[in-house]
Amino acid sequence: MNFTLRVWRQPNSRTPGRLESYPARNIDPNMSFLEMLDVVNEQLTLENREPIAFDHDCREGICGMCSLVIDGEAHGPEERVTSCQIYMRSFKDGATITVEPFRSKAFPILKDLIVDRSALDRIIQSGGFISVNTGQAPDANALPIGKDLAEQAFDVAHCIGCGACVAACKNASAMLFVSAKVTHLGLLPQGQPERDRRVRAMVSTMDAEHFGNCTNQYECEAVCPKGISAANIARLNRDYALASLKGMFTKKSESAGGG
Amino acid sequence: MFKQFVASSLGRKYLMALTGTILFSFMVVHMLGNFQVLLGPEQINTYAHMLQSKKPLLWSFRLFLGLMALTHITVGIWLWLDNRRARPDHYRQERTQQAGLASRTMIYSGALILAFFVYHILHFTLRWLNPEFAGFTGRIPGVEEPVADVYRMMNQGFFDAGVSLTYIVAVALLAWHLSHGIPSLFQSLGLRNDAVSRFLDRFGWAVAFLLFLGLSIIPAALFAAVRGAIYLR
Ligand code: HEM
Ligand code: FES
Repeated sequence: MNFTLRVWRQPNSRTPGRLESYPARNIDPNMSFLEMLDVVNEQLTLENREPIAFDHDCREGICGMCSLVIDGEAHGPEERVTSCQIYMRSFKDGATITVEPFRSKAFPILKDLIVDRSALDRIIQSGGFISVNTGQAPDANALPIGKDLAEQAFDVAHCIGCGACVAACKNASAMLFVSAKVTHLGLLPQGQPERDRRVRAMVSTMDAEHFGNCTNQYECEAVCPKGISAANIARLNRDYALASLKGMFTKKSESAGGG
Repeated sequence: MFKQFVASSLGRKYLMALTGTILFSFMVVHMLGNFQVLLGPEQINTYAHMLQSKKPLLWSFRLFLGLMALTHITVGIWLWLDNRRARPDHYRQERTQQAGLASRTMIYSGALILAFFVYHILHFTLRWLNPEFAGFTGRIPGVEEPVADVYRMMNQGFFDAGVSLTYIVAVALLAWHLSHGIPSLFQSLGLRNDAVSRFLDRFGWAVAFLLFLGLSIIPAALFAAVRGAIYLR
């Protein structure tokens, strides 16, 4: 198969970028999208030109590093897959394919198709944890959790933090990501002690990182490679309102120190 | 804590949904009240006089509603500006997956509704556009002095095809705004899950359409009646 690629090239975050065209020739239909980019890059290297920089790690849909907007869709034309799981047979022979980075103020472009998604890490740092007693590992059945609850928590635990929700959102909002993390820990008994503090901290970090606000259009769930439902955002809204309400009536302990 | 909630992304969404719900509820009551014009002069003029004679209540209600509208508009613009800043550079190619046109034009439908709102106040409430409306008086049973003839004012107002059409277009825009706004407010308030989401979307369209029918029937019927196309009592 042969394609024409229109790829976003940008040397660094301060220099403006632009789309440039490259031919991709003799591509096997069963190559993945990233393998196709490898082939193009090999050719560019042979021609002594700068290869296209793109992010990737596992190439099997679990690490969330590959962050491409292909033909205007985050993670490309197939449903419920990451960019690395897109195969060239999904495209028409001879097609022109546009490849852009995830665009958002919170994700500065580092180079070409590589963006800095550490804003998501900072959201996790602010609340995406539970406190566990040190010592022996607890007995497997010491804390029974209903099957239903475990499944619901697992559905959102699938989130790999790839940031496609931010990329697809009309407002570059990270609310699907935050709602997945808040729901995952908030459903389980281990997550209860920090539940209110967590949702407030994660939302305030999200706001400080310059993500946009959800306008309930659900573009995020349409591109999520893990099929996380936007209904979780409703749960996030609920949790946040209740936590804030409780906070308004709770006095901070004066003896509480650091530690 | 309250301040922090109101300034947060999610808190502002709550404000949009709550003020939107209040504005919507007012529109329903306003529509039901105005249906009385279809029942003849005595009915609507008595209703109007009842409202006008309770000045303190009327003004507190106006103040409250104005505050709700102001909050809805200010926070709406604030969110819209924030959202534009969140993606400074646009996609060169963008494919929308499932966001409807109404949801992508909320700020524009809102702005047009606001423009109409100003016109509507100048037209029927302050009567600056048609000062002669203020002189229309009539009599209703049980009241000594003459009262405002709202019936005649509305008939006169909607005699003009352009005016009637403006009102109908405006309520269509409101319905358009609400076709996204109604399902959306449930999500913003945290009252949505996968089981009800499709129902909410349809419910939103249905309610918005009914509101359009109800609100547009008033100018349409009066316009047709004054021209003798239909008969109203
Ligand atoms: C009678 C008049 C109006 C009614 C009944 C109404 C109702 C609503 C409702 C129910 C929502 C959904 C809230 C949510 O997403 O939770 C909404 C959203 C919105 N409204 Fe209005 N609205 C009215 C007038 C206006 C005006 C005058 C503006 C002017 C700018 C406006 C701008 C917006 C915007 C920008 C949104 C989207 C907010 C977002 O999703 O972030 N609306 N409206
Ligand atoms: S490279 Fe790991 S998910 Fe695509």
